[in-house]
Amino acid sequence: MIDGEVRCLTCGDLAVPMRVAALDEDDSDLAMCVAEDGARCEVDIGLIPGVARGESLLVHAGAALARLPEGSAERP
Amino acid sequence: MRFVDEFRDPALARAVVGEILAAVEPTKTVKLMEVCGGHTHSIYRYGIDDLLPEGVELVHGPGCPVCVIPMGRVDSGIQLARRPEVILACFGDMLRVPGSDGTFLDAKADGADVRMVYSPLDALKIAREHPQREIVFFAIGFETTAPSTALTLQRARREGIRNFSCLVNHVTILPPLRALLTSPDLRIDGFIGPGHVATVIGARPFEFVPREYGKPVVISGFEPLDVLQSIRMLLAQLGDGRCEVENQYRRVVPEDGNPKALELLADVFELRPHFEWRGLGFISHSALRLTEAYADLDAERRFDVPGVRVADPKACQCGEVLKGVIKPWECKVFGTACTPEHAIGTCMVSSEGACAAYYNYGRLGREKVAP
Repeated sequence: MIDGEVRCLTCGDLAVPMRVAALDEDDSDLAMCVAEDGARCEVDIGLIPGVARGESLLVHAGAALARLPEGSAERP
Repeated sequence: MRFVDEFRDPALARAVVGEILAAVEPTKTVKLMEVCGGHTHSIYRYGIDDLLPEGVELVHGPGCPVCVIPMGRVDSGIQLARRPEVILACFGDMLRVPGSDGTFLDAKADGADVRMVYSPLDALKIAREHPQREIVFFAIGFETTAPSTALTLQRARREGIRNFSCLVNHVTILPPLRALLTSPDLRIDGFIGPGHVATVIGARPFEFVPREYGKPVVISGFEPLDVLQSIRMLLAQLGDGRCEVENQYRRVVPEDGNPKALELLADVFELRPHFEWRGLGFISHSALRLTEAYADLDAERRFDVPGVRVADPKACQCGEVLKGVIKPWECKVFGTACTPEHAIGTCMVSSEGACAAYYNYGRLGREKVAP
């Protein structure tokens, strides 16, 4: 649930912007990410080179597909 | 939220609508197809359709992966789910998609172990937790979900997890787009291109649309202003006599997509010779299957899935809806026999399906609110 609506997770067209909260210490392809509503989940970041904590990513079905402009996944 | 609030600004939206009004010739109707279901959802959620003049008609395309899945594939998944050793994992929307003899939810009610997951990674986690069971992930989606499935398969291989496999139903967006463009039924002046598919494949692969079929494409974001601006850009191309691929969603979509994702897809998947699309029939090279290197993780090979073809229900007009030939409310069973609670057609199941979007946002008939 993002923005109070049910988002379809079967297609990237409603992908979720998420902020990287922590990189996994044991697996460099994983990161704990947080959506704007506070929902947290483990995300595979293997397709985005050099991801850093605090960055915003476009996440779909547990995989980050693109880097988003800074601040895209959080309220100012 | 940055890059969201700006793209929902009512004053800016009114200004863009003014530009759209100025760009439309009073006697002409321009038909624009939004290829993907995410745009359909945005258009009705934000009432974009009501802001547009009569001369701009939006037609809903085939880009909802749940809506295009044929009954035979659902039946194959249900057949696997009924095996006592199998735990079948799938996305929530898939649970309610009807096969020829019920849905995954019905199978679950009968005792099959069917579990909803948010990602293939979650399915792999179930495999780790239940080493004595066979976990089958029912993989669906376009180029946006295929990378997640591929990453998970690579991870399963790395970790040596042997009780995990995928029933792959991934499809690709360009072949059905080409099929639509060659369809004699279709009368479309331009395309609102799928923004998130383009984050993976880039904007360039859409260039065949203007080059071979003379129709403009604007790759679009999903906020209300994104969609309105994309409509304005398409009208500008038509007005100027230009015909090209433009990228409205530059803040996310690179021209060449995500090279690592493309490399990954090429490693794990290959094109099927043909695949059946609900309502559109068989389309050549329009879907993915696992390469020989991943054969041991392929549920179709591991379990000898029969791959039966099942005709769509006669009452259902999903095919015509998906081709944009009819609007959802023109279907014989829309809102009566076919509702989100008891869907006959797949377009009524997924939140991205054109029929569900019309139904959920109260668009039950042809009435249009004056702008």
